[in-house]
Parts: sequence; C-alpha cells; structure tokens
Amino acid sequence: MMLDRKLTRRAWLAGVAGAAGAAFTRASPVREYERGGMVYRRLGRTDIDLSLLSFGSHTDPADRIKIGRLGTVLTEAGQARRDRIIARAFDHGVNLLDVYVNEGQLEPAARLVRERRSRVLVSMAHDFTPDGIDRACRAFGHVDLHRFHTPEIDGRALADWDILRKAKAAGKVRAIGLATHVEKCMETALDELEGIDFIFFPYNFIHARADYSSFLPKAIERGVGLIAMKPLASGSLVQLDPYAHAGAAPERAKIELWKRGAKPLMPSVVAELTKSLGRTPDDTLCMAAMRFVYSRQFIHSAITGMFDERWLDDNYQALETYKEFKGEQEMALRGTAEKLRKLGSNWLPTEYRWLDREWRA
Amino acid sequence: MTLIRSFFALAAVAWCGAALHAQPAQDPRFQSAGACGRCHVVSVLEWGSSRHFKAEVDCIACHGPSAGHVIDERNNIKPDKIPHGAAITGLCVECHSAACPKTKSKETCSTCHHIHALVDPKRPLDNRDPEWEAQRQRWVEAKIPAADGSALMGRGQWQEALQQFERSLVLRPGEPEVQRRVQACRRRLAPGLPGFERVGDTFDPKTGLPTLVVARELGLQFALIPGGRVELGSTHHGDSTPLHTVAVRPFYLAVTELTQGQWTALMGQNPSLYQGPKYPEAVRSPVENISWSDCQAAIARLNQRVPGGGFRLPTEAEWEFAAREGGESANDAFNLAAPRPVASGRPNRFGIFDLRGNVWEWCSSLYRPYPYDAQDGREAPEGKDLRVLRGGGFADGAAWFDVSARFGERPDRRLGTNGLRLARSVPE
Repeated sequence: MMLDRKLTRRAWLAGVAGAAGAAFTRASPVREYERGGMVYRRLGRTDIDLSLLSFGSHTDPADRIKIGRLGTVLTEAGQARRDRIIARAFDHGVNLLDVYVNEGQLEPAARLVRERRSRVLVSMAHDFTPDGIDRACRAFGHVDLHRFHTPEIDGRALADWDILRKAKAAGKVRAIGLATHVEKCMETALDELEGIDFIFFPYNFIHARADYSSFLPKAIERGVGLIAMKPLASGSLVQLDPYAHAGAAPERAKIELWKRGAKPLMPSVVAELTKSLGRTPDDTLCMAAMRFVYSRQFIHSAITGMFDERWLDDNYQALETYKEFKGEQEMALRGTAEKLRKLGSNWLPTEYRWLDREWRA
Repeated sequence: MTLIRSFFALAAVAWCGAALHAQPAQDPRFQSAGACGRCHVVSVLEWGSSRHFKAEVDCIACHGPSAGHVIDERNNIKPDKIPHGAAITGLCVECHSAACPKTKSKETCSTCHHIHALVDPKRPLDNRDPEWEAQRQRWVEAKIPAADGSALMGRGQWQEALQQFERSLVLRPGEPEVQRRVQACRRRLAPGLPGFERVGDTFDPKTGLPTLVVARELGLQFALIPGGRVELGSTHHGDSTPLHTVAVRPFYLAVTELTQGQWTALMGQNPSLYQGPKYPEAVRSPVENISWSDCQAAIARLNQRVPGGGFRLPTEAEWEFAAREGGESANDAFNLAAPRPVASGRPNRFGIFDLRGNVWEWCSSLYRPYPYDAQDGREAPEGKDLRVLRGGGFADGAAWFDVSARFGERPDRRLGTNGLRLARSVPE
C-alpha cells in the first residue's frame, strides 16, 4: 500500500511537465519567438508564424503612373526602389509581403519572392474571384493569407467569403480573413464568417480608443489572428513627426491636398507633443507609435506600407525596445492622441478623414 | 511474478505469430486476414478457430476494408468500423437473424459468445457437434431451391422463383441474400411505386425495381441507384481522408438538379439570383440561393403532396456513390459565369446529369470528419452545425472536379452557388 502512495519519478515528471505547460499557456497566449532581431508570433490558431513587422501593399503615389482604364503601375525607378526596400525588409526578417494586384504588383512580387518562398509569406486582398486566386497561385504557388475588404457583412460579403473558404478547402490559400475599419463589422464577422482565421483592423495609439472593448476580447477568446493595419495612421504620423527623416514624404500629393484643404498642424505643436515622449535622441514619434502596437501581446503583426529604407529601419529598430515600452510613454502617446482628437480630423489628409470618423464612431 | 507472466504471454504471442505465419500459404482464408494478422495475431487466431472462419466471414465483413488503417503503421487511422456494445449485436443479427438457437435472444450476443471466436464458452470447440452438423445439412439443402430460384429469376419466371426462394428460407431462415431475392421477386411482381410512374420497362436485376421513374407532381425523373459498397473519400483532399468503405442501400436520385421552374411550382416563389431577362433560360436552370433549411421546407411540402412521401436530400455517401459508381460524365459545368440549364451535358452511367458542376448540391449529412458513419448522428435532421455540399459549382475550377471533395456550409445560409437534388428512399 505504501508503494502505491509513493510518488514515482514518472508521476513527478508528468506532474511537473503538466504544471509547467499550464503555466506557459496562461502566461503567453501568443506563441512568440525571436530570431535575428525579428520577433515572430503565431497567427491565431493557424500554423503560420508572422513577423511582428509586415510589409504593406501601399505604394508611393509619386511613383505611380496611369495606364488607361486598367489602373496604375509603378514607374520603372519606383518599382526598382520598392523592390530594393522589400528585399531589405526580407533581410531584416520581415516574412509577410502584402501584394496589391491592381497596381501591377503581382509579377514583381512573385519575382522577388520566388527564391525565398519557403521563408516568405504572401498576403492578398483583392482579385478574390476563383480565377484571380488561381492567377495568384500560378505566381506564388499558393497564397498564405487572403482577405477581403468590407464595411459590413451582407449578402455580397458572404458570397465573397464562400469563394475564400472554397479556395482554402482546395489548398490554394492557407488562412482566410477580413479587413475592415468598422468595429461592428469585426464583431459580426466573428459570428458569421465560418472558419475565419484573422482580421486586419486599424490599430494605432491614436485610435486605440476604447481598445475595441467589445471586439478584442471576443477575437482573442476565439483564437482569431489580429493584424494591426495603419499603425502609423495611414502615414499621417510621419508628417506629424518633426524628427522623421527629412525627404521622407510618401504622400506628397495628399499632403498638398491637406495643406490646401485644411489648417496644417503647426510644427511647434507637434514638437511639444513628441517632446513629452521622453525618448532617446534618435527615437521618433513613429517609432514610439510602432512600439505601442508591438507591445500589445494580442497583435500578431503590424503591417505598414514603407516607401523609404529609413522608415523600414526605424520600424525595425523599434522592435529592439518594444518590450521596455513604459507606462509613462504610453501615457504621453495617449496625451498626444487626446490633443489630436481636439483638432478634429484636420490632422489627416483630406482623403483619409473618413477614417477618423470611422475610428471615432 | 508479473515479469514471468509477461514472458509467457510474449512467448505465446510469438508462437501464435509463428503458427500464423505458417498458415497463409496453405489457406486462402488466412490470406485474406494476412494483413490484419501482422499486428492482431491473437485476434486472427481466435477468428481462425471459429465458425466464422469456416463460413468465410472475414475481418472485412465486420471491420470494413480499413485501407487507411492497414497502411498506417502508427495507428493514427483507425479501422473503418470498431463496433461496440449494441453495434456488435447489430452485426451478429445481420446473418444470425433467426436469433440465438439456445437463448432465442437477439440482444447482448457478446455476453456469452466471444466477439471474434463466436464459440460457446461452456462447450468444447468441436466441429462434429451433431446439432451443428444437422444445421449444416439443412443449409446445404437450402442452397438447392435458392439456386433454382436464381435460374428462374434469370428466365423472368418471377412467381416460380419466389416459391423456390421461400422454400429455401424455410430450411435456412434469415439468409440475407435469399431474403433480398424474395424482395426483388415481390417487387417485380408488383412493380408500382406510390407517387412514381414508371418510365420505360427496364428493371434492375438485383433489386427488381424500375430503373427510371417520374414524380408527376414535379415532372422530375428519378433514376435508381442500385446500392452497394463504395470507397468513400480520397487520400489527397484534407477533409476527405481517410479512404474508407461504406455500404449504400438502393435509392432513387433525381436525374437533374431541381430547377427554378420546379421550385416555383412547389413553393410559389423563386429565390434564385440568376433569373430575369438577362437569363432567358432561368426556368430550366437549377434553383440556387437556397439554404439547407429552405430545402427541408420544400421537401416537407412535397412529401405532403405526393402519396407515400419519402422525398429527402441524399446523404453524402449516397451522393458520392452515384457520382463515383456512375463513372465519368461529359461536359461538366465548371468555369461558367452563371448556372446553365439542367441536362445540358451528357449523363453518367446511371443517367444522372450535372453531378459535378452547375450548382453545389446540399446533402442531408452534417459536415463531420471522416470516416462516414450514418449511425453517429451526422444524419440527424436537428443538428445546427455545417451541412455538407457536394459536386462543385459553375464558378469553380479544377480543384472541385474530384467527386470526393466535400464542403460545409451553415444550414441557414443562402448563396447563389448552392442548389439541391432530390432523393427518395426505396419503399421496403
């Protein structure tokens, strides 16, 4: 009888392993690891590990040229510059490239990705007809993340979702999801979109208002991947930041519109805001904004368009210190957000002011 | 003590293995169990000493071919069937339908009989048991009228054949094959089916049922799918694995998908997206934009109108049987901008059109992982989980050409790619 009660070595090991496993599960809901300076997180319940910084599909408007009714493509020089930045991002460990088919990015992206396909993931948002997905598969072998944009889950959205589900079932797409700015739509998607793997949603320090209090807990509980888009508020933070690298003006055309259409934000105001961050001399408001997003454990990746190598380096550098993101820094960012809010939507380029309305809703 | 016991147990298994290894070359019955005997040595020996062995009831009869299980040495894929409890009795009475000769019971067989050996534990195993010998003699005698009956069936003498089969059943009650033939003769002698009218004069030789009938209420033709065993699933579609064998009973399946015109006649409205002046042939095109629940409502209404009722959606096993055993059809409706009128291509061997392509077809089954087992609750009408869709749609491409490919959708969701094809059980 005594023998039965005695703790055997096997039982002890099993107990310790179980307790350690349980503790790990509670402590780290997101699987995360670091390699070569880049942090990788597991996307929800999928088997995909995403780099915390992802490369967005937005291209520099100054490099675009119209090609009749077919839309726009990049100039030769612009394409070369973009290819160079993407290659540099891959070298930094960025492993997700978002591809915007409508700007003729399919073939250039396929060329760039071809030799790195085993390490690089491809996400797409448009052209999700069965033919479009087949076209993407011919270019990339398969699509890793495919999503569609919608402001509401209506009949049209359900039909699009059906196409994506079938593409996933046929092995053409690994994970399927949705991109939306509307919190109600995000919540509806969790209930209505069968087998949803991830959601692209706008998340930055300005619009972390209310912290999506209804949507986020539900999404986390269901293990849906969360990818933060617009971590720099559609690039607007770059313009607000007096410390941002000179010459880095991606939205030139839009900034002109902004300057003509609205009272520009005085640089002195911005300087005052950013001073309160208590940052290192090399740090910028953009880096602080990126660190704010990186520091959120429920975010699996932050995706942003980058038109300049220095932006890429800034976003990458912000990874080094995101774990030490302090409470007072967050308070300072929230103070900045509050001041910007009082300005209304004037701080955004005219074409993006609707975003502010969505975010404030 | 435990060590000694383990040693003897291992030695026994090793000896059994060696004995078994010597057997297959001589006896073809052991050859059929050879693959199982590689691991299940003791079970195969138990079976080898039983009357099941003599009656050539092999492992496949109760466990299915279990192709996936046989090739998977790590045992990740289980056999097609591992009956437990009442399911064991269900298997026993398939052959031993006359109940246990001693207890007259049709339940709890495994409390007295070993599940593999089927021996009475209180009686020594002796094939020269007089009772058994007498029974065997009756069975041998029963084969004579059964053979005569089959010959008469072949000559179309149904009444005489029926008499011979009934004579055989007196000598060997409950013989399933003879019972099936009795049923076939009776059907052939009274070929009418409630709610259906016969088209032509062709009958299935096995079941005695007319091969083509029409439901006048809808003007919809139904073809007989004769039933049998089908290899369900595939090895290359993620949720269609493992490949496994399922038995399907005879049933009638609509020759075409239900059209918009037929749906309108039945329900009084047309929910389809592909209708109007842009689609002049919409009336003959399949109805779409209907949910699984809509299908159930339509079927309930049809069953009220047609004498005998019995209309339903096919199970996914039935659907795959019709698609797989029916062979290739031609001109499948894939890669189209809109559904095309039904019966535009060429039918398969059973005479069924557009099983692949045109619209996805709702099945009655819940979308659950394979292996398929109709008894595990997946055919329950009240489940709210995803329901199976089969066949691919007009907008799809090559990925859905495979008849094993399956897809699930919420039962209340209406999409422009989803329609239905009616099925009807064969009256007993």
